[in-house]
Amino acid sequence: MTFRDILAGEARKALTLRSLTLATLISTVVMLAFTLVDALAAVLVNPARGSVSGLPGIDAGTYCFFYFSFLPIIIAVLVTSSEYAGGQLTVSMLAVPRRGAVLAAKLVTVVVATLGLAILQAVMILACYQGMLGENSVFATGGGWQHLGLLAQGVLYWLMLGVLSMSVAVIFRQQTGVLAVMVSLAFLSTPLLMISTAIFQYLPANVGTMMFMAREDVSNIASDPGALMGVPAATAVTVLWSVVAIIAAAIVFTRRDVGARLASAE
Amino acid sequence: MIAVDNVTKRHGSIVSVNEVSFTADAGVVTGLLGPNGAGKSSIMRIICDLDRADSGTATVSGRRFREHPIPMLAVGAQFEGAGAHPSRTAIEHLRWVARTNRLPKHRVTEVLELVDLQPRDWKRRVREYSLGMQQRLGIATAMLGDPQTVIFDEPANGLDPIGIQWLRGLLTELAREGKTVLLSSHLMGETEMIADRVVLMDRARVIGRGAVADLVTEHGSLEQAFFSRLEASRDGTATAGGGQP
Repeated sequence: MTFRDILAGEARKALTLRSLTLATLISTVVMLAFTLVDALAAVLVNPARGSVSGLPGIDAGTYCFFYFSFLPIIIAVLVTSSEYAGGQLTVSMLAVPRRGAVLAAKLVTVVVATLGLAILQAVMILACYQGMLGENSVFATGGGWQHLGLLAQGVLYWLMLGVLSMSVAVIFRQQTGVLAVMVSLAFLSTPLLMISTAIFQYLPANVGTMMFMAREDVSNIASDPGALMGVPAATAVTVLWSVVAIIAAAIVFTRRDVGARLASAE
Repeated sequence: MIAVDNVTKRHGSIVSVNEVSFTADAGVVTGLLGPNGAGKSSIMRIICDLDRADSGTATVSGRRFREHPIPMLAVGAQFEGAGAHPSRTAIEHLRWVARTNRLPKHRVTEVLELVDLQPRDWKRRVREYSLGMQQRLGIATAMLGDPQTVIFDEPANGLDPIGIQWLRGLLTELAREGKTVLLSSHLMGETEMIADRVVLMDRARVIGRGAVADLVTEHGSLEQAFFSRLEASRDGTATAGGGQP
């Protein structure tokens, strides 16, 4: 049995998970609808919306990565916590007793799923906003690479958020609770910046958002804008969160008894 | 052959398996018999490397479960019903297991036929299955790799009388083919009919063991043999029983 076999099994699991298919389809439709409508409004109301560094539209639409940050969380938690429904984890461990390999295959599945969704979102932003901006497009005004860089940062944020959510789901084995905590974390962290920027900017959702959002948008809500870290530091901290989380998940997953809860209940 | 040697397992202050030793040989059905909480499932989980033993060893055909190159080809095990995600169909569930273990697709239909699940049910979601159908799917999953050793945890749960009769036939046939069959149960009468040998357990310990025929001859029934050993065990006069298995 090779890692490829394990990966193929995980892929088959993901492809036959109806809640995942449904979530992906709904996500795609909602993202497309919002991006289209918002881009239309942005162009009609203010063609230079979101401009930074004097270049119109350089961060246009990147806030979609913040608004829809619940999507990679849902995808990652569904893929992971499905193992704990119907006692499937027991069969997974009987089929592949190499727990590290199972976790690695699950990680690849989550990365592929969230990366696919994030790239789709990036393409939608690119096509809708820049397409509609026309002559004000960053590609016409010379800010194309910077815009692509911000989109790449947004994609990376979703990827890291997916890995973080997967890790939390592995550790806590509870779908609804983990979803509630992670989605709350994604959206309720931002107001905490008004209390203490120096401390709460390190929360994964805040530091992740700083990777791609316009600096002035974040500064507006920060209690101390001067304390905000730069994009490279924000990226490093976001990646660190995910790496630490997946290491913690690996330690727990490889050491924990599959039947621990059953045994203690028995 | 399954060999369990002096296995102990603790969950905090609770001892779920206490210095348990026994063997289950090829060609016979060995029953782990005891009340709920006796440690039957825990020992089976340790054999399958689902749970870790604090001490002692459990091997199948001389190796730990996870040391088999493709474990499902060596050991088939069934715990807690189907072990399938409720939204999947039986076919979908078995196909991912088969793909992971490089088993041919035709094995999926073969095992579904083996456990007597009707073709119209193969593409129904597992959440729509009765408990008995889930048990059958769990057994089908265990049989997917046509393993030499099979381990079933309370396989009769949820089966109707026809299902139980079918299960009896299946286990007997597997043993006749030379496979090692280990099952757990708290149903004395059923175990007496199915098993060739039994390991009697109570409160995480082995309180007796032997050939079913011998125990029945000695005590009149397996149930009486069990309660006799149970009484002796709780009085502190039991020896774990000698000899076989």
